[in-house]
Amino acid sequence: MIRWLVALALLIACAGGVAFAQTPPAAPIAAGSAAGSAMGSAVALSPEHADKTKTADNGLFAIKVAGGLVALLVLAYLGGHRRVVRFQERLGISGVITAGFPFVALGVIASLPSVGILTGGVLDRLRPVLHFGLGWLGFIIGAQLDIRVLDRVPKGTAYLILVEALGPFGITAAGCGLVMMLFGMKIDDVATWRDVILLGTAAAMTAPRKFRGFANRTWHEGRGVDVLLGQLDELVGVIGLLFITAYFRSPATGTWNLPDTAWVFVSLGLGVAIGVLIFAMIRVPVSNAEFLAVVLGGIAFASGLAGYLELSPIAICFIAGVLVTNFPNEQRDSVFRILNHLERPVHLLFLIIAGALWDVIDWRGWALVPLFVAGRVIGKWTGVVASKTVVGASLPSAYVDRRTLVTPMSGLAIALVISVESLYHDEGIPWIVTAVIGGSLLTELLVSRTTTPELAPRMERMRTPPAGLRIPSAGPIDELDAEEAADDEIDELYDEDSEPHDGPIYVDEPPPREKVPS
Amino acid sequence: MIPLILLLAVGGLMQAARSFTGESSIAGTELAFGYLLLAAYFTSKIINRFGFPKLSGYLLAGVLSGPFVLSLVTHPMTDALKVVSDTATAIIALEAGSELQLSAIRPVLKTLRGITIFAVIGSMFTIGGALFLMRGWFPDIFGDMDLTASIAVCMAIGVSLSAQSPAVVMALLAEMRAEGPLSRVILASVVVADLTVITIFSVVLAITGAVIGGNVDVMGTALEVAWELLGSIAFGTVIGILIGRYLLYVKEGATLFALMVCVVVAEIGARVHLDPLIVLLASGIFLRNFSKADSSKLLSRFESAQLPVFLVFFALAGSHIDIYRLYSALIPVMILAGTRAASFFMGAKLACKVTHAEPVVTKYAWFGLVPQAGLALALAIVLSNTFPTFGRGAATILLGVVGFNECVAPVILRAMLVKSGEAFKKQGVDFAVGGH
Repeated sequence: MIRWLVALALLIACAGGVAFAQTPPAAPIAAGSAAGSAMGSAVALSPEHADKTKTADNGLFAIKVAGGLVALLVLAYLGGHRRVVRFQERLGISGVITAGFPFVALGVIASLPSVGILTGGVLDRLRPVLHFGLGWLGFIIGAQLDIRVLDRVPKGTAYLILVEALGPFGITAAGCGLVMMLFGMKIDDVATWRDVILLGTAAAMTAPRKFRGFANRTWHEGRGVDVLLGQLDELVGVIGLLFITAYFRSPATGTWNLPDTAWVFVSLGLGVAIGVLIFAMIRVPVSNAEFLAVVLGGIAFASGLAGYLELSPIAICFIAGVLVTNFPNEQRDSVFRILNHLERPVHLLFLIIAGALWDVIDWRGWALVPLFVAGRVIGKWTGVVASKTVVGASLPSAYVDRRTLVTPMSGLAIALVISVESLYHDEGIPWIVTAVIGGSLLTELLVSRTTTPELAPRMERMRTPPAGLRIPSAGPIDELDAEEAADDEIDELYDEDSEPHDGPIYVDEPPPREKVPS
Repeated sequence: MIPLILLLAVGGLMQAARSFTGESSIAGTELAFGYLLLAAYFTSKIINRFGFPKLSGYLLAGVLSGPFVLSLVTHPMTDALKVVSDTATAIIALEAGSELQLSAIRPVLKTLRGITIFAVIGSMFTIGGALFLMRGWFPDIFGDMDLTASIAVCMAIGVSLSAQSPAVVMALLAEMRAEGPLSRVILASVVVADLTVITIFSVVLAITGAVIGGNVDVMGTALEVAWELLGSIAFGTVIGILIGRYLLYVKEGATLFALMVCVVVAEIGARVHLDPLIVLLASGIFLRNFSKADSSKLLSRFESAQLPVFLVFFALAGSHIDIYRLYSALIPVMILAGTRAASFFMGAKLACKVTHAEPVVTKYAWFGLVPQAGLALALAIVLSNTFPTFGRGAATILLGVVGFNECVAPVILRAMLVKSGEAFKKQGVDFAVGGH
């Protein structure tokens, strides 16, 4: 939390710096290094350039920056205070958007024209970082998918995933599509189809009830089934994104004139090529610093390539991530250590930019929010009933009987719309951004309302391990992350949704309050 | 063999991507960042096998990939990555400042002062003099200039050429894990020399402007220089206090905090006419010498994660070297580079003899002043932009000498560090606990 606050505030300050940099300089400033820039201004070639008041203005601005940094320091101190953290835990705020809502809100505020920090120009300059973040997200999601698990899931799981994804997909896409046409979008416009497919895909993806960060989603035996199903749901999102970027390309970009279907194969081929390349590259480093350089460079290169070819960084890096960690190698843990390192800055940036790109003023997006959430719940209900009817008998109870209707949306759903927002710029995009972010927020509030009230104190108790218990440690990421790493491990051991690690693969979860209608 | 294959694979993918569109795109910045990082890393691996410093590999990757050779990384891409090199400069400055322990430097203060006067300031006059004698070779600069103007221009170029590179020295000291009196003196001398060059350059540029007919506001210039130097030091001290307070009271996320401060200062500093290099140097010196907080842990983490910064920073520097232009002006460039090195050699030897410096310092310290990179390039651009009549020609000379020194100096400095016996003496700090 504390790191999030610090990084958020600093990112805003950064953006402020970038925003300030957008303004024309008061005096002729030479290009070159920072030192050179400053030196260029040291020579005042004419009296008007040597305006003495400028020095005073500069001083004032420098004082403001210093004051801003002091404020951040105070914010960081307060944000890390135990009481604040406990209060948050007591409220059961643990979703990707609700827990990070202050950051999203700050992104919204910073992008307001009257504030003018995260303006369009600044956001454009931050785009490469955003692309990298999306690539990182795709890579880590792919890297955490252990494909061996797919061989061991019970028969009928694929049907369950498909039906439970198709339900929300179809109903949300149809409902939102109709309303979007009422708002003026044309049925024969490809953008309409792209947007409804995107909304449906976002609605199809679910996440576990508690968000533990993007880097803590690997499913292993004993962990709650919702973690596994959420991970499999995300596959749907990645595949959806891959098809959207292949079949809804801007017509006049680039020199490669390929049919749309060929772009699917280009995406797959690029993902595999990058995956093999990173797999080979991580064998070269001899120190962790070199390892950082290779992983950072690999992901940046992969997402840069994807962006350059107007493909999705998420999809390309997802494929690469799956390959890198599922091929037998000894560097798997090191890869995750590096990915963990980057989680906080990336997550923060993700939330802030999501907020900044969110056009909260356009009411049409808000009109889609209840529809989106309702479509998702009804679709889920349809899917759950269908899957229970067809494969219910052959699946363990955790897979069918105790499925909940209101499940949080995956963070990938928000990344999905941000990814598409960076590729296309037309009328419907702000609506779907509002629908997905607003829908995600509303869903998480509904989820927290349907959590048993006694759960929070129970979670609090569970955080204290019994005497003598040895907490497994894969080596803390650094001094900053050690405490949180241990925390996550305790979370996993005492997860309210999980059984001991050596338990069976089919885990029956404790019954939630909300039951599937039979 | 494997690094070579991987380098070719990365280059091939980059070439394929570049064939998609010739126009610049937003993703091009990130693509160039990732490509330069990987290309520089694998080139350094290959180069290192032949006994060359890794730094030369980073530069070589930049030269080959840059707009003047293979054009895999274009001008718009390098321009968009300026924020990376600015941030890298800020990080390197913070690290360099924090390496300067005043109590350790105090005994060699006289030597430092001597090196600054005899070697650094002396070289300004020597290089200026050599250029004056060679002015017939540069008709595009001195064509119809009178004697006074020629002297002023020679001095401006001489001061620019005397600039050092704390970044190259920091990178080589880190790569060689060098520690000892020589390493301390080298680092301290390049930092002090850089500050000296920045100050004198401002003054000389103002004088040159007045001599060649510009309308210079002396008072305004003096105020600007004062603001940049004193304001930067004051602001840097405030930043140092803040980081120190953070380390004392918040503790968690200190690395991220310091990193973000570097980004903010790099982005904002130049715009408010503060020099980010001086700001972060002052912060580092404050943290190391006057703060109650233990900054060593923060800085060791910082240090251990600096490799990606160095890789991209130097590869970008390499991408600015126009090797064709360097080749066409090789003889005058070599003469000037030789004069520069000789004046450093003589000046540093004299300073060390007079101040009775340690033998290892007397023998090798001069070469720490030879490497050049960011500051000299920036000064070349300042000259080019400030004086349209002769600036472009002057920038060509400067870029040539900087390019030559970028190629040659790291190799020799590496050899000297090994010979001095200070290489590989520092305990290696690696990124993250529990390596593989």
